[in-house]
Amino acid sequence: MIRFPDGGSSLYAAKRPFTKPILFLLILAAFVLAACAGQEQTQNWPGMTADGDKVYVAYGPAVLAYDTATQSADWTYPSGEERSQLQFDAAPSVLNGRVVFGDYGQATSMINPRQIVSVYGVSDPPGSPSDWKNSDLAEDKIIAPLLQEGDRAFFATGDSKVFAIDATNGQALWPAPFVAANPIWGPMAYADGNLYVAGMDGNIYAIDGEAGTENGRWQTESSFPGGLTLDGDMLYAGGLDNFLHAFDRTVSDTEEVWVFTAETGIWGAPIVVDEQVIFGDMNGNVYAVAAATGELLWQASAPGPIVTSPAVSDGVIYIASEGDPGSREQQWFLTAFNSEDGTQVWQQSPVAGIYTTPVVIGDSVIGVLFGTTTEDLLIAYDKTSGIQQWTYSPTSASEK
Amino acid sequence: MSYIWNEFVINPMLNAMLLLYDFLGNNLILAILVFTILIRLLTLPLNLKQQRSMMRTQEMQPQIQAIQKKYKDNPQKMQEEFSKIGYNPADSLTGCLPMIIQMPVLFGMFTVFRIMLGTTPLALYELTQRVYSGINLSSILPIDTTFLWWNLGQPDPFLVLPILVFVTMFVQQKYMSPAKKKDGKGKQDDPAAAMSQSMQYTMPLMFGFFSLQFQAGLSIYFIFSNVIGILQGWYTRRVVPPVDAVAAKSTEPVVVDQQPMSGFDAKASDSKGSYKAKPPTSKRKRRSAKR
Repeated sequence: MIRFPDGGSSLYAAKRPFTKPILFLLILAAFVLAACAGQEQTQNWPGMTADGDKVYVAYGPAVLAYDTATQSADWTYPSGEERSQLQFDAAPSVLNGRVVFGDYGQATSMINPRQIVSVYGVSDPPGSPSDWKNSDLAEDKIIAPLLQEGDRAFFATGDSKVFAIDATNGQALWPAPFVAANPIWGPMAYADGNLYVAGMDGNIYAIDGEAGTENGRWQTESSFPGGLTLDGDMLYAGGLDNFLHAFDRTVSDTEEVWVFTAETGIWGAPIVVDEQVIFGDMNGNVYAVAAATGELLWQASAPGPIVTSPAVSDGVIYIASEGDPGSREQQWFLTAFNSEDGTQVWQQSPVAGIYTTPVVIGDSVIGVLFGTTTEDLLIAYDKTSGIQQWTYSPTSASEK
Repeated sequence: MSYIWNEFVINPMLNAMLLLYDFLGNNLILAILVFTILIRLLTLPLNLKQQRSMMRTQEMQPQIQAIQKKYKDNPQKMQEEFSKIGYNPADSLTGCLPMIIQMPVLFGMFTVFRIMLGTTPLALYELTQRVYSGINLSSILPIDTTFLWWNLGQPDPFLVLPILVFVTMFVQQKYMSPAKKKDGKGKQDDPAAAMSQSMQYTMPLMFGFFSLQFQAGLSIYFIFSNVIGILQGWYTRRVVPPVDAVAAKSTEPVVVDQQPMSGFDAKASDSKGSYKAKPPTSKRKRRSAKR
């Protein structure tokens, strides 16, 4: 309250009843804006990897190891207070009982926006003396799925860098990280000593796995949010320019071997099954093209945009889509197609979106749910009939 | 509500930004600058009204305070005297109204930058779902967020932009606020000035602090907006005369029998301490009257 020199109550305040509330409103609004922006800026959908009967899910506050055979959570990392401070959304890499994953980082302090980003290597379950954490390398969030090859682990960060570390102790292997022109968000691949990455800059890079130097690149006018797929000597990457690009990885700096034009942008990386390259586009079209020529073999339709890669098992492909995103009543779908001719086998509508490539384990096709409409994180359908088998919610920690 | 907000505020603003970015050779800084100018032009009438209202109230402060002091036990009479000098307490609401009306634009800008400069797949996906069909997204993506040593999609780790936001907003607030009386007592006696001067520090501090956490692109928007605000404030003070409401509404001076308060215009008081309120006039009018 503003007071006059005579100590009386402020007539000004009495006659200007709106000034203080408005000032308060402005300050409150600014704080709300700050809080919202801070949250939403880094939000992303979860990442999932399968190994044996287990799925490893980076779902925001933690990494979960879930045993689908026993339908129970094996472990989560981290536990306690750290869980509320960190964010994990990049799909972990699992190899020989070692799980490598990275976080999105956290600001150094309230007044220092520099990020401290960590990469972790833990045994399965965590708690072994050989577990490690390295917070000295990365300065931006880890989004792309991590990759292990032997005792090496590779990861990419939001500031367009690619790192190679010793997967046994987390120490850097390259003298300096490889720097692309734009971030790498999608899965990477490794073959014959080269790490292949497809970036948002429309380039596919071949990086020397030993030295971290560029061994070659293939340039396009596209962006590759879903990364690439390596099959034999071929690299396949779907771009937002509506093209599926196929390159021969043995000859760098060359034009595509073939290009297939989709109806709209392609987000998820394709899969290769029986000489077919199968992928979806942002209009819900599912295509199968000949791996050798790019010729269209069949085309099917799923409801709404597809941002995941398909999963495949026993001649059936499983693909998630969003439905009509502009609709007021949002719906999401998981659809199974026959991989030979694209006929629909079954379709289910989960209670939340599946933006992570589903995995098939045993008789189940498993998806990660993302959104605010449910507390469930995992959902499993019978891969043959599409009947829902179980769900798992980390908050209630109870299987249904 | 969320549907209306998205369809009528966020999506048009976002698509306007994308169009500008496309037309201006994928130069994000230019796009932000032009977009800021457009937003400023759209809200210019409101801003001018707000500034004129503040300037007018400031000029009336001596009269207002004298009347308040004299008729503090008689609100009805106080209102009558206010009317005579052309002052309406509800003007304080009118003065803030432009700020309230601009709030959706400010809120919208936060969301637009969050989506456009998003650094995650989810943010990009959201962008693709909001783009109008006429915009060729593949010619725009990936949005080039680099400018000098900054990544405009990330908070500025070098603290340069937060400091610039603070400085430019401080100067802008200075221009927007009623000037201090020369005797230095104005702030104490003029609650409007006191409030404005406290905002001179709190608002820049607040936005400077938030710039530590927001994308650098948003900080750039703040800086451009503040610089335009400074130019606008300078123009309003130097060129546009304040509304002379008193002259229009009152022809007779209001006589209040009391000692003038500190910060009062001494020339307007007679030897007995009574005060003859005079209609507020601009410097230009006073100068021409002297001639």
